[in-house]
Amino acid sequence: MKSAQWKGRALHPREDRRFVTGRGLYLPNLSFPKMLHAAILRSIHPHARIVSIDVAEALKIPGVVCALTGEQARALSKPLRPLIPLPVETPYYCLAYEKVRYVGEPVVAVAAASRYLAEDALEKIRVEYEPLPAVVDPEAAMKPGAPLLFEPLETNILWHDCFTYGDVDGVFKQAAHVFSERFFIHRYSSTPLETFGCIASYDSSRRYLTLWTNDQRPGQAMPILAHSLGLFNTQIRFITADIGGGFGNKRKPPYLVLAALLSKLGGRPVQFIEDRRENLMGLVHACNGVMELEVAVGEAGRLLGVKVRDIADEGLNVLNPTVHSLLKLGNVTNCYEIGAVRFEGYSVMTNKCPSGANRGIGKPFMCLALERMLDNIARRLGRDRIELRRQNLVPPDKMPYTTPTGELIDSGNFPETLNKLLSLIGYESFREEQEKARSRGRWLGLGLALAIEPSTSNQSSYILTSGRRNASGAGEAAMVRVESDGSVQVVLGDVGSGQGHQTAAAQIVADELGVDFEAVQVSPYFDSLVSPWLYTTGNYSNKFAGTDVGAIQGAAKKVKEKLLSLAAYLLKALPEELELADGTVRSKKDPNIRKTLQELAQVAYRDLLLRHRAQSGHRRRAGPRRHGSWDRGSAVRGVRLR
Amino acid sequence: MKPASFHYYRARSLQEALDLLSGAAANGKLLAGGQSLIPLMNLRLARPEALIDLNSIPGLSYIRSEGNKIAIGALTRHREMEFSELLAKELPLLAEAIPQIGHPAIRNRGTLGGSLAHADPAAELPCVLTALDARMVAAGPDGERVIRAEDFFTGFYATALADHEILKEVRIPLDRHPAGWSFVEFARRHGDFALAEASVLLFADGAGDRCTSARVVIGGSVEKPVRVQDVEKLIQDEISIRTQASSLAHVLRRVEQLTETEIRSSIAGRENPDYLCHLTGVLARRALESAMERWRKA
Amino acid sequence: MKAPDLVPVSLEVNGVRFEGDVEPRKTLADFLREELGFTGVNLGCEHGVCGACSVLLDGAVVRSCILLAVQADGCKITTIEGLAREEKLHPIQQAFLDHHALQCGFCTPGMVLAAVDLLKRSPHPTEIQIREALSGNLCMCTGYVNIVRAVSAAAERIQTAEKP
Repeated sequence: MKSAQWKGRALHPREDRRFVTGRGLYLPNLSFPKMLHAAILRSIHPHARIVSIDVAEALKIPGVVCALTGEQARALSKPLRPLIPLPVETPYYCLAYEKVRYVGEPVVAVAAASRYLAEDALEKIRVEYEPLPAVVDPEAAMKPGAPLLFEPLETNILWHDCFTYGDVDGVFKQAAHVFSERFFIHRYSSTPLETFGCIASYDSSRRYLTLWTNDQRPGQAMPILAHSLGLFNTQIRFITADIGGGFGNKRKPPYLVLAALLSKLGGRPVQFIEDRRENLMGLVHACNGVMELEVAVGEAGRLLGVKVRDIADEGLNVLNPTVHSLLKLGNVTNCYEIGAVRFEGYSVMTNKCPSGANRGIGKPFMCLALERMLDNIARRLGRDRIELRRQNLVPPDKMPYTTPTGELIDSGNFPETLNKLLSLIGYESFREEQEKARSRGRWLGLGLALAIEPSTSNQSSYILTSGRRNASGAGEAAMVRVESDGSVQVVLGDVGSGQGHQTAAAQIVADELGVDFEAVQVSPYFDSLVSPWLYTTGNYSNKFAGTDVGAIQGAAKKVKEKLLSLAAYLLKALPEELELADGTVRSKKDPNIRKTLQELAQVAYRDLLLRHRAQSGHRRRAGPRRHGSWDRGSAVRGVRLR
Repeated sequence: MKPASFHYYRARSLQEALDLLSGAAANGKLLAGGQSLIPLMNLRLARPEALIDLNSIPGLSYIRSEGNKIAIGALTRHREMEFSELLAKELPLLAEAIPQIGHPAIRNRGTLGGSLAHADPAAELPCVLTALDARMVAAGPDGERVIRAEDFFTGFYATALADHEILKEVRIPLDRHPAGWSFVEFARRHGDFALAEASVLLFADGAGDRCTSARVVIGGSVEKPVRVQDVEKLIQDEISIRTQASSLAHVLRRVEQLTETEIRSSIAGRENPDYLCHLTGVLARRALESAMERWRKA
Repeated sequence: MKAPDLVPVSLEVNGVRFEGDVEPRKTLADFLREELGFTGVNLGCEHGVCGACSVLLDGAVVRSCILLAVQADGCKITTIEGLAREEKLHPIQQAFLDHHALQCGFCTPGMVLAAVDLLKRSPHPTEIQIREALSGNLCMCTGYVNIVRAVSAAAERIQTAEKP
């Protein structure tokens, strides 16, 4: 009964109280004495050579402290490090250097006493451009002779590969029918209500950068930032708190570098908050793209194999291209049993704003193409579109099912899910409703698509693109600590952006340690100085349930073991004879034999000699046993996807 | 997105505002509700040297019945018009349009005069007030003059107001109460500016069964409110309260087509002209349908 | 052009009087956030579209990003910080908690204040009236259904509480 006291309860997210009272810990609400405000002059050309930049007039405005150009950024920082290997170094800095490559690309940044003054300064900056031919269509960008974004690369194709799983040629040869179709998808982007922002405070006396931001993936942003600034991780303190909506695209390392450099130049903390116009212009988008899809179908309507040729328009994304393509690869067969897959992918640069993570990352396009294709196949074969799908769903008796590309679908009853969907939407009676509406001049339609939404990213794209195992797996980190008064502190790698992580974490820990929910405090901050973190740390990819929960529970379990061993020593019992409940560690047989968490914590924090005896192996009724350090347990949990 | 600097003057009387406008703040803009002006300034698309704030001028916010007309002060906020019982009773067409202006927060600040002087072709009030044959009272250094709505709107964001004039009051004649009325618009999002809009007023004879005249005004898709007089004539010739459903359907189709034809030249140069023409025709038809329904119910 | 003079402003925010000189171009939102520290006034779009910066000006909901601070001279302003009394939440705030009417919370202050304005005018709003009243407030986490439920529940709660 005590084991599920808090988990499974529908509680009000405890974060909500600060939100409804206007006390959200959002980045724009932070302010520091003498803080400067940054504004960015952005490119008005899709592609142009920068002939000259003159900031002299801007710097004459009282209150304008410093200006930063691409030239200076190049002198003060290294290019932002791409996450895939490229044959030559791309001079991609936080500001355009030598060329601009999309409308909205940052060209000059200024810091001033207020954002008002900083915007005044932008109006006084003179930039002379020599416009160059631009390429905005990915297929045109692939052709020889197309304008090149980075000439030393000698191509706009950042990545190209082809993967074959199963007997693709065989099934296409045997197939009764082969259908093919070409699909397009436009760019799209989710727009969090709070725009991206950061405050950088660089202390040159100790070469130390403190950075507050609402970047939703600290684990990836920190190393990129450190590399670009030539600092060790230990020279950066990276802090995030409440994020006013993320949706994947609140990840902008170049702007973190930019604010850091301005702070270095200005000698004061610098705040940069993207305004809505900048957000719409330069926000990372989901790739637009082209997909050619071929499907081999057997005599009876069985789907035998798919071939995909996918071209993702990355815009100016040299940081983390390929992701849109490779997430399609991971989802290529959707919820169907299809035995053979060939996937050819291209990541192509064009003169458009950078692409990046954004709700679904490639999966929506893969799903759109395959599901549209199934409708077409059904129509051409004279089959019912539902029946064709039903026939090809992975059957429940094949669960757990491994797809040809290696994804493990651990469970699911897809036909039953489909039945439930049809009954919920009243599919059978819809035709009647449709007829009725049409007679009144209203046209109703019913579209149907099935989808698998995988969660947690396992970094496989890095291995596939680099051939090196420089990152793998999915994981998150958490820390649980019992304080000297017996209260419990939890620190998360992923503090969430409105999903209620802090509440759920408290529920998990309360159950694990047998304490009241209210006794568990969960920090709303990610702070690299105190929060445990990994490369995968952050708020993205629906990963809370997949990895974060495991980390929280794992950390709590470690603390639990320590509490049990300490209590066992003090109560002259064996740990397995004890349980955690009601804020105590007590005997399972006699609840009156007990130590409160506070009593145990008193020993752990103050009576160090006793603690040492308890820890150094004096199992009073059994042999010696070693335990780890007392006051901190942290755990990393991985979920294997491939 | 912060406005550029400007000088700020808070006028305490209409005369003071007029003096500023022809003197110290000659290159300035008048600030009423500011619901269109301040966004433009935040984007630095507008950067006036000076703002003359009219909000502290007493006596410019009122809705009054004055015999055969309604007079509305230029500083009257949309919200006050929305909840005015007088307007609901006497000017149902106006009352129907006002809740379609923006959102409550916009209507709490936006003013009648500001909206008209701004003359956004996609705003509701220019179209409706043209249909209502409203008269704009402009105050200038040399006194007042009255401008008919049809002459007031001269193009995209352009009016007949002279540089040193201030719109002071709007007068709407009440000599004929409409038998049927309707204002319809289509906006991509609720509360957004309309892509197209149509106002229809039907006037009946003494017996109340024959349409003696109609006013049909198009907005949104065109650069200024446009009366479609061929459509008005068609309605006047063809429509009575007893018009049979089949012939009414025929008239409605013709209204749609005729509207499209009449405004096609005004729409040229806009993005997606065919779509806008079609949309406008459909809205004119729907406005007439709904006006007819009201007439029948009355 | 010589620099514009500062303009004296005197206003009441959440029951407390403030006086000071302000640059004419300073928006009311920035003034409330930066000068007075009412950071519950969230800035989402700065051109009067999203509603996150909504405040009550003499009781009526307005967007503080498209009002100048100088225009609030002599006015009474309520921000989200002024709704709760000590620990006790306003019934609308409580209803937002009870009905899980928020996720990231960035739109919440504006939503709550728009609802305050609505319930003052229409104590028994229909669902359509609620949707219309909140139509100028965007929630990008898409929690509208629960927001509408919360406002509806708050209306009922206020009515019940006011009955003798």
